[in-house]
Amino acid sequence: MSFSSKWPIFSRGFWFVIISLCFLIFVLFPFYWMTISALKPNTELFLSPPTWFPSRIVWENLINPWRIFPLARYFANSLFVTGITVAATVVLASMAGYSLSRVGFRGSKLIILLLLICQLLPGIVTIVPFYFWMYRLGLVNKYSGLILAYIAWTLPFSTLMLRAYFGSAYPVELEEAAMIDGCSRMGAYLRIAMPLSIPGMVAVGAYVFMLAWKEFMWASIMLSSGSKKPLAVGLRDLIGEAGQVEFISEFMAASVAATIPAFLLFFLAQKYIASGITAGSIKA
Amino acid sequence: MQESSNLKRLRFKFQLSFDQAFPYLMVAPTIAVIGTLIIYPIITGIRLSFYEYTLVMPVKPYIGFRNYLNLLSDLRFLFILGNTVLFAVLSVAISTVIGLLVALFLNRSSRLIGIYRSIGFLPWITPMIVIAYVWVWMFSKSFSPLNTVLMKIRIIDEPVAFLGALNIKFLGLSLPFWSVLTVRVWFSFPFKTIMFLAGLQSIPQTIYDAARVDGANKLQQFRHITLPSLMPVVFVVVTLSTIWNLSHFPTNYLMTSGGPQDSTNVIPIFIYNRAFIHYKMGLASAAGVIILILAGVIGYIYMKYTSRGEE
Repeated sequence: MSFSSKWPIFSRGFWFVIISLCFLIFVLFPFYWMTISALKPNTELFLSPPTWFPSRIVWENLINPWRIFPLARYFANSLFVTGITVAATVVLASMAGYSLSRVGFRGSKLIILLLLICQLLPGIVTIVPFYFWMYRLGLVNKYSGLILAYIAWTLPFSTLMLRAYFGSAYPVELEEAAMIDGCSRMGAYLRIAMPLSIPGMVAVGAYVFMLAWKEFMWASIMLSSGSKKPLAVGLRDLIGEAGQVEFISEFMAASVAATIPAFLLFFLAQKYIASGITAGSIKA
Repeated sequence: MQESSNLKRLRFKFQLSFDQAFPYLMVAPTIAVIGTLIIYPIITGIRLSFYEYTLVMPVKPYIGFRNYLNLLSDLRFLFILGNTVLFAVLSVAISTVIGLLVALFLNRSSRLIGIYRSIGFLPWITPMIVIAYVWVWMFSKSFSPLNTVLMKIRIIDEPVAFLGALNIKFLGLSLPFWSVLTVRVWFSFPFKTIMFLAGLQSIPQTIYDAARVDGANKLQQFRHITLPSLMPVVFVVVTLSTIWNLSHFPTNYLMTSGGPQDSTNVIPIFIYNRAFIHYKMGLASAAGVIILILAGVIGYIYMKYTSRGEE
């Protein structure tokens, strides 16, 4: 003890601070760089070597991408696609998760195994035949094609997460009591299970929202041209060929805006998400 | 009187049969979605891999295993396959080790865990396109803050193009490879930290207290309590993220499109280009099946292990 108090380099507190700082800098620096790149005056942005702090903060930069480029439209597209995906996935996952968790029936084990396998299947394997099929159905470059892709992608783990949630959220006696009093299975689900599982549904919904919001691969194939494309693809309009960033200032400002919805949702639903994700994925 | 009791019985009977059908009705939509949008495409994909299926060509002949033979005898494909595995293994290994170390350190201070957890989620919820191009910008030769730092501490003499300098090698792998890998580690390790923290927090404090009473020192406690209790979580995180990393597409594609000279190329980019630029659906599907087999082996180990744990 006296050893470490004499030599701060050996004390636990010292290393804790050092490790924490490294973690924070590594994780947060890209966000810092994105933000100051958006706020720097255009002349300063192309100084080499770059400046670490903007000499002057230009707030108007944040508005530029909204003026020169259909950012609002892409934002609305993303919100629409993500919103429908979340609603459909949560409803379907809640129904299936409930009956897989609370009602014993023949074949339920097999369905759970199927969901587990589907959860593990890499998207890149299904994307070629999926596109091909949607192409024949005429759903490429429509909202519906991308929404279907997102539902298929998020439904297996959402169902498994909600199944785990139903298994531990409230005592099964609650439903049994209701059914003895003449409530049907359907009634037990609608009047007892659904309301009691709202925190779990919020967690899964927020999770699905964040995944669909940040997704790039499916969006770039199912909905990549025209005015219906989502933000994750639309931001590419600001990028030249071969990764050259043409409108850097505008791109960074649009990026700041694009990260906000997921961050906001995360902080609002954080309490549910953290426990939901870790519980669901460890169990799954 | 008789009439109404009959009706009651009938209603009861109906409810009984409805209750029996109820679970099936509840899972039916999910099964329909999975069947049509996942299982059917997978089967189609496996079937397509045996055809020379080019979208614009009128004739699509069955060619057996020719697509596979062509791929596996193509040195370029084998190089990309090796790259894919290297990316997956290194990204999982590095992010797991960093994630574990950070989790063990953070676990000491319960007051700060909440804050770290929030911050750790941020990279994971940022749109891929934003991550990729912010890093491209930070990796650019003239405007990179990293170059400034590296020159100041005398590691390099002049600015380097992190995504272009093939001549700079480290452990036999080029700088562009390591740069893209850094980004993949950057957005995956904080999430792993959160998973490991959850695992650490679920170890009851009483076990540590008992060990301390029995005279176990810190190192022994770590070896005999912390590590074994954490292994299940580590196993799940490692297997799942290996599968996801084998098929990871956006970072490499957006940052470098697989270049320069295939140094950051991976099978998902190969599939994407073959299928959606050259319209060679058959060949792309065969490459997809190869990834599926790799993922399947890991998935099998995962399922075997986790189902054993459940019983």
